[in-house]
Amino acid sequence: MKTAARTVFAAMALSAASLGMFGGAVPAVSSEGNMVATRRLTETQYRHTIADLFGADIAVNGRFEPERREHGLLAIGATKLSITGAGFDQYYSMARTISDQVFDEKRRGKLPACVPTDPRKVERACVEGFVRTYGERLFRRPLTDAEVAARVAGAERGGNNAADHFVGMELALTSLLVAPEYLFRIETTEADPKRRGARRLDGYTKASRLSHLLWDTTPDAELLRAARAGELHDKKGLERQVERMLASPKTEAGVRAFFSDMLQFEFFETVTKDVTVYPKFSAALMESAREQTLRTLVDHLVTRNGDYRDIFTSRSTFINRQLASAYQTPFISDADWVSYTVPQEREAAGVITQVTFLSLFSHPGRSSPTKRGVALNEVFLCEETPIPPVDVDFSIVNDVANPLLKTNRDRLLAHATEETCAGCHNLSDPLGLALERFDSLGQHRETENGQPIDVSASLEGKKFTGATGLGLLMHDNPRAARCIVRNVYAYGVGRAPGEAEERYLSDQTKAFARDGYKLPALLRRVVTSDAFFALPPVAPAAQPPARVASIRTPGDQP
Amino acid sequence: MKTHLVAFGALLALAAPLSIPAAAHAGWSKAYVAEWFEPAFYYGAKTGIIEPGADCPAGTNKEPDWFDLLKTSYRTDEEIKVILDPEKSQKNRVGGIRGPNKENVYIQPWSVPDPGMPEMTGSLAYGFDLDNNPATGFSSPDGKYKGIDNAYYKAAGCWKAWRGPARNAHHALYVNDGMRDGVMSVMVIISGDGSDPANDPNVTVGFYLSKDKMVKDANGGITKDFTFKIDSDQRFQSLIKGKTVNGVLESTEQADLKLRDVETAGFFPAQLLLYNGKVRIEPQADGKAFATVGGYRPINDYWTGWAASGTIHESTTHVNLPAYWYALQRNADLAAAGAERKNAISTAYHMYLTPAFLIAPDAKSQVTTAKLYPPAPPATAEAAPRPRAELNAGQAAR
Repeated sequence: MKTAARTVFAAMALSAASLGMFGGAVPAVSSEGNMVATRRLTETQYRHTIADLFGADIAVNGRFEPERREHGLLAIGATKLSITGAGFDQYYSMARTISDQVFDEKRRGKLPACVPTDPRKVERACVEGFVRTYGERLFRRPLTDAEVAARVAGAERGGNNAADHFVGMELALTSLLVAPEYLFRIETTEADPKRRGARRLDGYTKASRLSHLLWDTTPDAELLRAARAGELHDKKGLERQVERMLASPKTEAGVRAFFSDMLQFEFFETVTKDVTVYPKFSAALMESAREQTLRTLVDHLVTRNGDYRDIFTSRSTFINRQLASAYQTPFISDADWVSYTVPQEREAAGVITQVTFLSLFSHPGRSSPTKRGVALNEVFLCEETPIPPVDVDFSIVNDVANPLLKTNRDRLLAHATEETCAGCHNLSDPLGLALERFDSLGQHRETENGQPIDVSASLEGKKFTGATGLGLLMHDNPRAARCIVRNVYAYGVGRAPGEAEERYLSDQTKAFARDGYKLPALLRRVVTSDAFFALPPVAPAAQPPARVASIRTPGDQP
Repeated sequence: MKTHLVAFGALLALAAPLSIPAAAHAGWSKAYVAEWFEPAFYYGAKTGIIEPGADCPAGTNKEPDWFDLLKTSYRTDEEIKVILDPEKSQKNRVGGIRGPNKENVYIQPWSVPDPGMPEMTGSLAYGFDLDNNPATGFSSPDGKYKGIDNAYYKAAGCWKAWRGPARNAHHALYVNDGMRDGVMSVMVIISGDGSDPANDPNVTVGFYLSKDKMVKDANGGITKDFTFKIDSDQRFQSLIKGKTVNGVLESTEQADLKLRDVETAGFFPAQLLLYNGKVRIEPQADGKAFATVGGYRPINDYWTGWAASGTIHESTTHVNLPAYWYALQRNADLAAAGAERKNAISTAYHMYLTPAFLIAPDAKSQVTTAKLYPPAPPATAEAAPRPRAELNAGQAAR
């Protein structure tokens, strides 16, 4: 029966391709607005959207195409991404399996779709109602009549051939799920009635920016209604929606997605350790570490509405049985996770001394003060580090068995005496050396090769000791607050702020401080600011992205 | 084993990270999970796992001829061929029916004459001087201990099930795989009152079951420092007093020990009951420990598990089970629990212990003292089994 529909599926796939999905071509825009930006949907946005619309039990099985980090964020790189042929195969396969599940005999009753009078014939009204309702949620805007008609026609053709109404429904949904209008967030403008000749982001684009920043998913029906009614162009209407959204539990998903991007969690996919040195390393431990960091951030920043700067000093976190083993502490609970306070006698610097940061930014077989220092500068302070010269000699730092240079500090000091290296190492290494009492897996240690570890450091004239000292330094560094402001804004608008936005970021940073460095307040201020919905400045001639030290390649830093 | 022993000074250094700050009843404690657990059988050969050696001059027991085993007055050769035909799958069903009057020898092993178990004939064995008579028994392989009573090793020491170098015997590999794959975890805690864990005259050792699974590390070993919740099942809890001298713990009393046996199949007795038990625990350089646990085990406990599913056990371990039964009867060396005849056999086990954390059955506190826990109350009134009288009354009313 379903074989008969295959030709229609194939036709729809071709149709999607013809809409410009391959080769980096810009997707077609079927609304009347001018397109100003596209962003490929991230994996979590895709998954959250499917869960929101069809239920969390719908399995989304497939490999998503790699994302690209630019100017410190994947959200910025997403504006440059297209879909390859192989990637489209994956999207198409996922779309089919999702459609199969949604219209499975046991599930189809959960949808508020009408029941066909004759299940062997496609009921046009049913299909049309479904495509209009769910298409609006998937495309984040109402579908044009032509977009609806094309899908209804395809559904009728395939469903009637198969003599099954629900095959037609599956075809319609598959078509929506492989459409560029779903796979890309397409930002469009409309004429601004308040300024003659000027344009502004249309209401649906605004709704999409809001929901993907705050919830990491497609706008809900109420937000789309507000967009349709023009309420998002009105300050009070916008604030009403923002308050509603910030009060929703879905904010947690938005915060998780933001920090997963900012903290470079894509490295979890490639992190590995030398198991002869770190036998406790496992995929389960890494998954636990990721969850620990996200739980900690959500609890502190959202649930408790705490001071952002305390993420560098807090001793409060969560552990499960796996992490308890890595922390060498008992797991006293029947639950899967339990709150945990790092004892005072042990060094701690909030998320910096969690397994996540310490293991992601280390070598497989040893810790790396340089990688950690570069990551601290880049991730939390938005300070880029130049890539090392091509002819740099790493032999000293890699010689971990050197009987004279027993600790990382010894080896790095010897390495950094080379003039070409010293400039950058002086900025990164002091930060990383303060974390040397944590090995490559984030486990506490006091010695390296039998030698006591010295964790004293000095940066820009400020002396500090160990992780705890480093945490205080980060806490009090005004660049840390400015960096999170910059990242929230850049993540939301999908581009690196330009020089023209420096003043805006400074003002937002001051307001962030006045608000007590509270993340919800920051989110509220940013998304209700004019700048958040301002049209992007006219792009200058294309330039290659700034080169920053690549902390993703284990071998390129000592 | 000897190579794992560490000196007094090293032990102190090792004990430090695991020692718990002074609690109400314990000055120090160390907790472990048994990552390997097997009968303490000394392998007398220099190489291999079944070679002839000082323990078993003829090597490990040979596979019996099943045709001969099944040859009885009531079975023709053709019938035996059918039974042994792998495609007919009858062997496991009728393999035990070989008594003179069609008795099942797994149920009535005495119905056939003793086929003869190849017993261990050496003079070295692991274990303890359980009868406190150094003049009788074996010597330890390192020569440190005399009068060792390990009659189970004598009875079954050449049996393929258990013979082999440490951690390499056929059945030990099988059951430990099951245990390490999550069937159960055997926990040990040592707690003392003194300030020096290496030299403490008043130490208590506790044994428990945990249903929390061990977690393997990236090299296939058992990961250190995981937490295990004690299960309050009374069948698997016991305490024994001891002392530490230069780091090595020796029990100072003989106590009936109740542990979760390493056997993982449901037809084996879950409990390892050892009358008049003794314990020795030796620390190792890497923070782990090596334990020897001994006592007299009821011979019926050694028999029933093997007799259940007997044909499979005979096929995989090459034993003629009635021979095993006779060997147990012959070597039993204690009349336990008021019995008139000897019904228990001296034995010993080795445990390889990995550092772990223990928490109480209610999961509300860390365990830092070896003590017994009361049985868990039924979860809810509905969940509690109704008294039989009440059930019967209900039936009568209908």
